[in-house]
Amino acid sequence: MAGPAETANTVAEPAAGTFARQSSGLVRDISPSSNVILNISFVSIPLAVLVATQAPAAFPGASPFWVTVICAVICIAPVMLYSLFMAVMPRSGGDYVFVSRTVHPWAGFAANFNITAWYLLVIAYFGYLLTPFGLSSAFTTIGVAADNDTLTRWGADVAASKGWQFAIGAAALILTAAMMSLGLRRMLKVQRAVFYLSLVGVAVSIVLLLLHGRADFVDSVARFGGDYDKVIVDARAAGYPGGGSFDLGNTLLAMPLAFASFGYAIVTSYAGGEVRSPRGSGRNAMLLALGISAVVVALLMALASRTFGNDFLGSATVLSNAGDKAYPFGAPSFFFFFVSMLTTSTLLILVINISFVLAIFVALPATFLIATRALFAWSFDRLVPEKLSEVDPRTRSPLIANGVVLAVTLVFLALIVFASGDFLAILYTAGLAELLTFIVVAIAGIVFPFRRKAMYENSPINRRVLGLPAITVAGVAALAVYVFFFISLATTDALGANASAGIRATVIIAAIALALYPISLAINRRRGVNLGLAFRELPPE
Amino acid sequence: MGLFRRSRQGGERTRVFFATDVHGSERCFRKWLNAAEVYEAQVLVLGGDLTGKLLVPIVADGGGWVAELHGEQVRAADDVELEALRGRIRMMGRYDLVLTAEERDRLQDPEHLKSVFRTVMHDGVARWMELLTQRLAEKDVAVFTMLGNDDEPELADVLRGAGAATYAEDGVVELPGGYPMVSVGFSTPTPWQTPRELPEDELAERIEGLASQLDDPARAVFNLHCPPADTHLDQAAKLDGDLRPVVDSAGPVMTSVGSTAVREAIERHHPLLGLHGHVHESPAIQRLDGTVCINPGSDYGDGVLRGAIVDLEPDKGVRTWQLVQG
Repeated sequence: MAGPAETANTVAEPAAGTFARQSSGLVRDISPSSNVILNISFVSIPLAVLVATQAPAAFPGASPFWVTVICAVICIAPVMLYSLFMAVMPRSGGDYVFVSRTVHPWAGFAANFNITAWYLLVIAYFGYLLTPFGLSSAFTTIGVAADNDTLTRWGADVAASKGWQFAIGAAALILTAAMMSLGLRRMLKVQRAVFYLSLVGVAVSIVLLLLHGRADFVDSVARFGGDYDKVIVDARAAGYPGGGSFDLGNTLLAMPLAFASFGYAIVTSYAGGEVRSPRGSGRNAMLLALGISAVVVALLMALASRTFGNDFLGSATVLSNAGDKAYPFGAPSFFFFFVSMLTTSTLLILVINISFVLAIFVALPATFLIATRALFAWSFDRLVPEKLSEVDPRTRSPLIANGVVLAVTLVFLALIVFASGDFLAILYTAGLAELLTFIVVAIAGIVFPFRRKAMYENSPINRRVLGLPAITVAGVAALAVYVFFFISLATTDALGANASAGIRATVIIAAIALALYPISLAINRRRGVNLGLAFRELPPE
Repeated sequence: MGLFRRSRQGGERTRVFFATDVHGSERCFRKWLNAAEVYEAQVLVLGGDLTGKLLVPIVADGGGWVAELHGEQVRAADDVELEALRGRIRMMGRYDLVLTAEERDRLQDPEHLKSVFRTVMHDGVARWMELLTQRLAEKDVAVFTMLGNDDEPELADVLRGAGAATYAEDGVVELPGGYPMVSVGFSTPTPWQTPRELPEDELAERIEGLASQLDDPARAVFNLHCPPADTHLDQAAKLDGDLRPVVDSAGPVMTSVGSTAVREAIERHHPLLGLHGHVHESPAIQRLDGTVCINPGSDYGDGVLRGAIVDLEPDKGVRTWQLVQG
């Protein structure tokens, strides 16, 4: 038989030119559809629609459609870089493995620690989002549709109640951790069903937006007790300059909002690396997933602009974000909330609002898994205590690692909900801080063919573009993209990433990441373990 | 080399370097030969699955030769380039075979292909054992080899013939420092029906047959190719009936492919150390009832030698362990 792929670590050959014997590990490639679905689930479409409201609010004149399209196009470079790395080092762990092997284990650990720490904050944020953008929106729209004042009041109450925000977020986090500890496989099955359901809400939204124009939405706003034009006028009075006319500069400045989704099309490298995809099918799946996600989100953005109007979206969001009394609705300004206003069907409203809640429940366990896998990897490499990779003999689950992730995320959730706005400001810095890790990976990609010459030359990515190794070119392009977003986030006040609290947190986490490795090195040396040996290449002569 | 002629080199500490599943990678095997010196190990253990899975024909073509690597044709114009090409293929963990176009076409016949594979595997392992003897015969290091489930049983004789190494599966062997080692290279049944597989009950019997010879199992090393079931060490991609990995929205679905017989043997005898392989994508360390179990994984296709350095001491047992990627 010829042309198989293999589980992990081996180079899959094309159908011609190589013969295989019957031996373990020889498997067929992941089916193209599964591969694409896997990648799309990491580019969460329901979360990407935040661009519709936040872009015109923070950057008047920004077009959510062009923000989506341009961002998706430039994110091709990072996808190419990560897919090339995955082809040569098909191991879950993403940056930790790429950077440790290419540059230095210290750099690999620091880069991975940095992004994992921020992922923990993002997990907590997912929990927080459930109440204002999921439950509140659902209660409000169903309440109005069913003419039920109690539900409408609940919508407003839960959005304003810190207790509910924490309780519901904490329940979601505890539920996730419990299911991951007690029945990971069952949970992953549920997660797949939830993923498909979340896309149903997106499909319903597209249909509703196609069927309803601006006039219908103006009527809907009135039905919900508001006045479309008054929202715009009130926002002007509050200082919003208006977002009706296209502004290319602000469109480019708003791109980091879309990067928060499309920039993470590479996350498969953390979770999907156990199986090598031969003949570039892994790369193609990542690109196709990016393309499909971009087309769907761009379509949603174009329809949103047509039906709601960018000026209204910007105005409503400015009022909502500021807690202005002129904001006429019980639920915060949010894409799915406005879409659900277009129908009076309780069922459709439920489906639309649940799609966002479900999208969070898709993202939660996936991000949780990335965090616990990072803890295992560090523990196996003796960088953190062995306890973190221990498996409970009864449940056979990594209860300690799951417990650590849960405890840290609950603390973060409490800080997001109850602490001053400073902590939420820190969260806006997550994108900037995570870029530090991506930048290190891009540099690793640039130098990989030169630092690991033998590995590169015998790998399937040994290709040249413009006379340079393809991965070096992809690394340079990805670095340019990452630096662009880093500078955007660092210099654009409207994105909130450069708040002093966030910058302080970035520096502190980066410093901890850099300090832990030498500390661990010293502790292990006292035990007689030389961590310097971990990635030292043996002579192959 | 007689095993019991070796004394407790290096004093009380016995440093073991364990690697496994090199699958025909010349680069990894050569690295393993050099590992004792670099890691200052007194014991080298190669844990099975020595033979490769893929064969790359180098076909005579108009005065030169041509082979296909990573989907691209690579040409060799003269003998020097041919040797370089052969070396490159071996370094990638494949067997090279120079033949004519007609001979290449005959490889489509499964029985003929099987026979050709037997020959190249035998020749490859024999060449490695010669190299091992040249490199390690004069060195102060105890060397242990064993077959895995992917290796043809008749290759055991080739390994037994290596002067500088002990074939570990022939009985309980003793490591420097007086640690007995039990070795079984068989695995439980796989979807690929590989040459050395046993049902769980027969695997249990085989392990028990060796373990029952131990005076003090708590000082023993269990060198069992198949990892214990339901651990970090045995997680592989779940496959569907068409041998495609099952994927869900969180990535490939991982499942336990280890052995319950291995797990029960470890939990019953509580050896010092479990050395395992078989599941390349699951490098990990986990304690089972106090026994440190290690699967260093394998990256043979990238020419990276994954291994484990383990220090044993009489009073502390496993004093330290460390996974390395050399």
